[in-house]
Amino acid sequence: MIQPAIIWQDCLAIFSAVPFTLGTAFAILIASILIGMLIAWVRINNIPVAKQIVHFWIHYIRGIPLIIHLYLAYYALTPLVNGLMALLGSTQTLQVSPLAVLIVAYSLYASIGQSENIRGAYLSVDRQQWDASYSVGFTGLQAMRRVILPQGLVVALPVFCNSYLNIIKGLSLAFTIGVSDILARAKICSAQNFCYLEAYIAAGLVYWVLCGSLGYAFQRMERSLKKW
Amino acid sequence: MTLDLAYCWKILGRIAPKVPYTLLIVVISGALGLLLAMGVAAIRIKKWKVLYPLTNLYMSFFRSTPAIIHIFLIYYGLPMLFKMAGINIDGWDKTLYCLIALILFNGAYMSEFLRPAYLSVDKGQHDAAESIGMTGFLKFRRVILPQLIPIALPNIENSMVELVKDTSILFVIGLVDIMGKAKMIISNDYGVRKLEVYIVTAALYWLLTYLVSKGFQIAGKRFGITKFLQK
Repeated sequence: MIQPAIIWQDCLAIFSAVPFTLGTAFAILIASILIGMLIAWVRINNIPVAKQIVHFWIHYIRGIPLIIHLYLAYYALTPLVNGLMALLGSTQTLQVSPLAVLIVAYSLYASIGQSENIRGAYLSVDRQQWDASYSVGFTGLQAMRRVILPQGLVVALPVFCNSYLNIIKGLSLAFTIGVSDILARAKICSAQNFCYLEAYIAAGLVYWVLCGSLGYAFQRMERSLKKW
Repeated sequence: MTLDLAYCWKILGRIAPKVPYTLLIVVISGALGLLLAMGVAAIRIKKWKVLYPLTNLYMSFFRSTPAIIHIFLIYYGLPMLFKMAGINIDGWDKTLYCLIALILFNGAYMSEFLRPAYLSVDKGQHDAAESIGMTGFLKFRRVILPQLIPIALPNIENSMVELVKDTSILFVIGLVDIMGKAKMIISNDYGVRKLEVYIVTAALYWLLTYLVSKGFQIAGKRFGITKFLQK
């Protein structure tokens, strides 16, 4: 039978992993937005060679599950880094930490979705806004910062928030490469007292409360943004 | 870093027989998930009394927890629930648990775009259908559905592709599909050439998602969009 006391105990233990999960997810979100901006820039301006690379990358991400992508990165990144170092003439070898692998691999994985979002937001701003800003003497960068970005951000922000939630959920696969997030903590709890169902119920509850309340907060924010 | 290509080829021969099995899981859970999503969307559109708050709860849970949690909860929780009712389901195949988890998960996700697709059909279309005496299901089948499908199809295709990718986490309860087989090979070989195995697995998933989205494009051309445009 299910023991509520153990669920509560597991909840408390799992809850200690929440700040780490939120922080990692935020780091991944920021990194993926930065890479996504680069990709969006390539796609909007049709840069010759980079466009083909981005195209290949989009197909790769669409076709490969996150978990396999993480595994590939985990087993390929260390030899790659060491190979690069050897090329540069360094004899020292280093082991890339799982957390670094996770952040790099996941932000590359999420970057495609972000680039799609950024591109959409950029294109949603009317072309005449550019003409208007040039007419008052703004340079390209000024126009971007003062006119286009504020308008595009209102469109893009809700999607960024949504992808933040998706990243938090996706981090549940981090245990496969040895990073201890919410689910990994639940697995540790279940291994200690052999109450598997209780641990997973606790993890489910923590996720539910976390993503549910964040989702609600984001919805409120989106509504208040809509007035512009 | 060196890749053993001969080994890759050998591994491919061992993992590839699991592709139809994964495809079967995708087809069954996709179809039943879509059916469930239709039901949920109907409840949410019509705002039926007791069921509406229930779907609220269901959607919020399944949308805010990762799929891996659903699989664990179904796998460990369902036998316990049935035991309380006095039924022993320990003999059930693992495939069944996976299917249930995936169906519930997809029902929540797909209903989220089926509802807007339904609502995006113009109100005037309902009035027009009613004006010539169509009611209920006839109206839905003849007027609303043909307009709804082209709107929803890209999203359905997308979620089917995501479903193929989601099957890769079923190995956590020991299901031997593509990913499970890869895991098995790795543990049998003492984890010597992990990278090769994962590359082969990645290639197979890539192929599978490509086939699914290609299939949808062909079907869309053949049945959905073109037929819709001809009318």
